[in-house]
Amino acid sequence: MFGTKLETTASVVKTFTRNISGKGHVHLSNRRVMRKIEMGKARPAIFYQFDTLVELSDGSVIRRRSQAPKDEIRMITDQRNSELWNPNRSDLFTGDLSTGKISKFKQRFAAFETEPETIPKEEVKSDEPRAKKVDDLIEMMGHNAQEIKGGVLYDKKKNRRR
Amino acid sequence: MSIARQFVRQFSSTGVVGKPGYSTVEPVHHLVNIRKAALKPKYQGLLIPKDDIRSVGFKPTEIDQDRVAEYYQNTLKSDLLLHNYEHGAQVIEGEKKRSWGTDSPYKLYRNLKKAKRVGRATRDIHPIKHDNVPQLESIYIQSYNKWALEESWLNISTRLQLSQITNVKAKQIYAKANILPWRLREGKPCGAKVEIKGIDMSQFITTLTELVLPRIRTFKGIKNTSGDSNGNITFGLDPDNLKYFPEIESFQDLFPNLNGVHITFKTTARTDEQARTLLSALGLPFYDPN
Amino acid sequence: MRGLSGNLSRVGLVRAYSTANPTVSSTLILSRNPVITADVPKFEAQYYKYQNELWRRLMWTFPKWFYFREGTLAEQRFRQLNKDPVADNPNIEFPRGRPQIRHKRDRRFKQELKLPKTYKEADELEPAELEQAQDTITEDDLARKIVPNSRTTKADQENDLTSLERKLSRTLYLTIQNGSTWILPNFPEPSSEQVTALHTLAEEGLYKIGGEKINYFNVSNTPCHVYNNSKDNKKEYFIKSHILSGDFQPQDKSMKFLWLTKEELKTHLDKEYYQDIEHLLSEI
Repeated sequence: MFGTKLETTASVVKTFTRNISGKGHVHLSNRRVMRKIEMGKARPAIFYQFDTLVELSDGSVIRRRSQAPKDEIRMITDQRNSELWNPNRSDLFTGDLSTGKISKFKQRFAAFETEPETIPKEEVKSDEPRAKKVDDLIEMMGHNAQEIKGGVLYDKKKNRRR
Repeated sequence: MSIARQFVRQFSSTGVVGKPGYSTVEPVHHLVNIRKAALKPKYQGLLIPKDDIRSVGFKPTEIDQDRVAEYYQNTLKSDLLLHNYEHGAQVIEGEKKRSWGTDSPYKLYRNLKKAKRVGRATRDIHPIKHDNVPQLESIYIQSYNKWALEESWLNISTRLQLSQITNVKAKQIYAKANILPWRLREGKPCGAKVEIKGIDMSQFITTLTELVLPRIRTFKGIKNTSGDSNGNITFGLDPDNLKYFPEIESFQDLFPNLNGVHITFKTTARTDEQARTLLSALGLPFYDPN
Repeated sequence: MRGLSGNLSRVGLVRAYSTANPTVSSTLILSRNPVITADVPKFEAQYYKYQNELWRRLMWTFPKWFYFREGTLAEQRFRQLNKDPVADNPNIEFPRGRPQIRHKRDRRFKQELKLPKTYKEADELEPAELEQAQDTITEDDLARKIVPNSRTTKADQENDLTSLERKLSRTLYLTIQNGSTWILPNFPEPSSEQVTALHTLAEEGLYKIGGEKINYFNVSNTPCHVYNNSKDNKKEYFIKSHILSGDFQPQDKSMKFLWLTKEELKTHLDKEYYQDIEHLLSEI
């Protein structure tokens, strides 16, 4: 498969895979110049659709019209299995948490696990995180460092020269 | 000007009797908007409405039992009528264009003043009765593809993906602004859009609520704040989530360049809250983003 | 269904109200919405079939080149099932009309395609595999043919009127036996001094008579109808709710309850009572 590369503003290169629906492959018509459709002679656009039977996770069967040539589909996860659509059911599995990379790492190195700090939500106020930041800086300053309390924090926007 | 002598314009010049002088022929203005193309014998087929089987553009719409429409008609409509009932509800007047007054003759025919607050006239909000229960009119899906501005073949793949998920032929989107840093030029094709109604719309809702949205891991619902204050709710789907549509899921290698979409539900609800009630009854969850 | 205009538009129903203070009570219309699609009447079914055939005739040709790539197994299987139509030959006479083939499809007729099955049918399995399949009943086997459940359940066959599984395509309403008559469950307020909301009365009453294992949804706190019960001197305000899951388990063993459709309610309820509430009930 070929690819084209495009530079984005964030300098992340985006590649486009070209296969059957790529440049040079798609032919909307075999004619070089599309045939002109006279006014009043246009036929309705009805794609070829199949009647597909879909069986959901709880056994209910739906018939839906689909362009993809599949006669039957079986679903493993869907609405009947989902917690968001069935909030009052306790037996639904709330998501497999052991398949992601982070959870796999945690499983392998469970021995080094430290108890994460839990800050109760009500106590965290707007000035709390700022106070914590200041404490960290004081630690880095040295032994004789003394925290200056009082005064007004410098407001860049207010004091900018116009 | 001569005293008004009404002469009816004749197709023949005989039969007009009058005093010598200049004749005043009243011009016959077309009071009806005539589509001349439709009068041509060649275009007689255009006069037949599209839902008439004799028309060339006839498209059958009621091809099967529509379970969403039946659910709405049999259960939802009466539930919504009761749910939205307010005792002693009055019409909430919207901002309208105002008259300058009638004290001065100069004010009489002046253009009306701008509406208060917004400047644009807003519509009246009527209490919900049996004839104006909120209903889902259509779904509008739009996919703006900025990469298509550089690689024009991507327009085809964007149109294709929309047609596959809705079963309706998608239309091309053209850029409306000129923004050079983004290589946008007015009239440049950059994506696709499609509007679905009727049974296609019902199937799209059931596909979303039963097959696609439940499989999106980080989906909490549509934001409560979504809405254009006129009863139209919008939410978006990322390209990674689009692969959960059965058409795309079964043939993933045919869709290498999926583009995200914005899905808008256009309802006849007058307020966003009524629209959200209707949509949540149809199976779409909502959440408070705060 | 008609709107909330109530009795005002009806002619001929005169109620004699007693002068004493009537007790306020709350009646619960607890309905179970249809579980499966509604039964299609014969005419509608014929109409849908006709429109469907027209739709199929007007359909575009299936783009086989897009879904089945040349040389793949899937394309081979598809080709085996769908043979190319007979090509036109000017030297041959075609009694049923000369074929007009466009992209391997005769444009005079609707295109009918057979798809390769995703499941294995019993007659295709070899004898060894068949035995294996019969021994191990794999319920989770994704390669099984989808067999939809029957639209009539066991409760339908036994005509068990207390079951919620009966008549899946219809709406069922909860009815309670009150002495000799059947009525919709009614809960009078405990005392005229203590003011309780109507929907709270209905909920508490429902849990008291039917147990806690009912998951229901209340449409609105506003009642949808008022019935002036002159016999018992009480006003009944109707609260509309739907049962979503769970079961009505009568706490009192002697209590008789039924889940009935609209026509069955007509035979079970009082004639005057039914006439008053029939506009609240769903036809489907």
